Amino acid sequence: MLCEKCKKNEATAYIKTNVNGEVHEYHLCGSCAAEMQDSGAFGSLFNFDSMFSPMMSGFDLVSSLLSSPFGGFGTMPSLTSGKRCSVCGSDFRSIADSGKVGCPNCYAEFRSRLAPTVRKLHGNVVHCGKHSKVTTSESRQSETEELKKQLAEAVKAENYELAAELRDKIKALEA
Amino acid sequence: MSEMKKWYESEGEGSDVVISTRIRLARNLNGYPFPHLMNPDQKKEVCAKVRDALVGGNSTLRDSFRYMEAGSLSPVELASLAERHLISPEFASSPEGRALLLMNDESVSIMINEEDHVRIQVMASGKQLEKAYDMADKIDTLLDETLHFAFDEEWGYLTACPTNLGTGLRASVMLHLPAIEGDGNLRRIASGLGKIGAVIRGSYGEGSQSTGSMYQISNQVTLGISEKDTLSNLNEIADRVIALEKKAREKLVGNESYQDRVWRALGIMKSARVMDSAEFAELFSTLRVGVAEGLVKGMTLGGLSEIHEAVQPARLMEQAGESMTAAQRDKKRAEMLRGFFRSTEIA
Repeated sequence: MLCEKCKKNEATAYIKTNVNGEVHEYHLCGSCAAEMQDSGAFGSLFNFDSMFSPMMSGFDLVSSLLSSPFGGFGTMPSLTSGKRCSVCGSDFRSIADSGKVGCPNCYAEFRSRLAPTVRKLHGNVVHCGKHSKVTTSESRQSETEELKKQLAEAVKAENYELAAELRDKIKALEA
Repeated sequence: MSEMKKWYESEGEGSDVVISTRIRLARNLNGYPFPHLMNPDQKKEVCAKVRDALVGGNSTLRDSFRYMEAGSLSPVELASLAERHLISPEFASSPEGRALLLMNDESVSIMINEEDHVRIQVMASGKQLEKAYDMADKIDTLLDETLHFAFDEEWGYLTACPTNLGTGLRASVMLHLPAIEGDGNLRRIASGLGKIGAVIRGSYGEGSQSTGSMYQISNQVTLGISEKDTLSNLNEIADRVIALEKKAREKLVGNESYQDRVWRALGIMKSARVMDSAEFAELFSTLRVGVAEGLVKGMTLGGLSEIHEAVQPARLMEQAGESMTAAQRDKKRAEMLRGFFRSTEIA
């Protein structure tokens, strides 16, 4: 298929926008897609020029990123087949088409292919803030071990006041 | 519904401009597809697991929540819950396999199998971001004890849509901005919000238009920023917008033609025979400024919030216990408003 805009190059990007319920689909070549993206023609979520600017839903945005050269998928047709998630059976194509990830495990299975889109959406950052208990209990364990070491040292140095304090802390963590 | 006092009947901080605060946490269970790929049995399993984690066994919250299967609720009940922002319009539109846990005072609602397996939502009147978050955090921690939510060290809480990765937190404040809506200030603020990771929208969230000068400001970025920083950023933005609105209001309420508008709005509320939702939203907005700025007496902001909830279309039908045409609702609404505002007078 030829690019809808320049009508010269082969269309390699498929972009779907949903503006107040009005769905538009674009088949574009890489350079025209980039040009339109830059001009804000897709009502990009990245720059809020106006609160009334057209907005894509989160899923449409993710889909457009995953399916377009910006996410890398459109330029890598070899990724269209193959691996499926062992928990939900999703392949990368279905994730890219819908913008919806199949299950929590998909994030591990398709990590390297999802990473560029996650970076596009959030920036080159890692999570900070609250942790789920699973990891909290792990860190709790290492904290306990550290305190136990300190306790042994305190006993050795006959600093019983500190030792008692440390023992209480360990008890609280292990409770 | 219980007779307990609802969250919106009290007045929180800055309630002359801030209508309400909302906190939402998105969480998911490992080992299940996200809701859009789940089969009916899996949906049932997840509903039961979440229900048991919150209100099962010896849970301290046992008697504080009601569990409702969305599929067993009538369309009017669903619409009424959506009107009160306790469920999303999307949740209401396809209720099968979904469930709701609702706290007795309606300040906490937990949607099961909406876009994510679990969406914890806390509402508070006025601007109470920290307090509302603390409540959501407590419930999240309690659920996590048994559900062990899907989590990744690098990407945080794992969600169906990658836009919610990280904290899974969407914090928002609903603001009443009639004075800066028209003067270009709001548009200028909106264009600056994107740069600091926030967004302003109409009152029903994504894609909705503002009605009655109600706007919702919320954080946009969820990864790489802690809950605490998200809340303090939003607090700061909200305070700036509130200060602008208050300043613009001072000028507005000193204006005789605006005072006339408020008095007329009260006059119509007190004596209309028929009133549709759109007219109500507009008059309500004007009258809310009148109450907040002391141009009318015999009415409180908390009272106004109660009235606002009571005359919404689905709520009217729910209370009447029957389906009503738009014309019947408009008549009923006007009748109720005449009663509500009977002892409200111009100051």
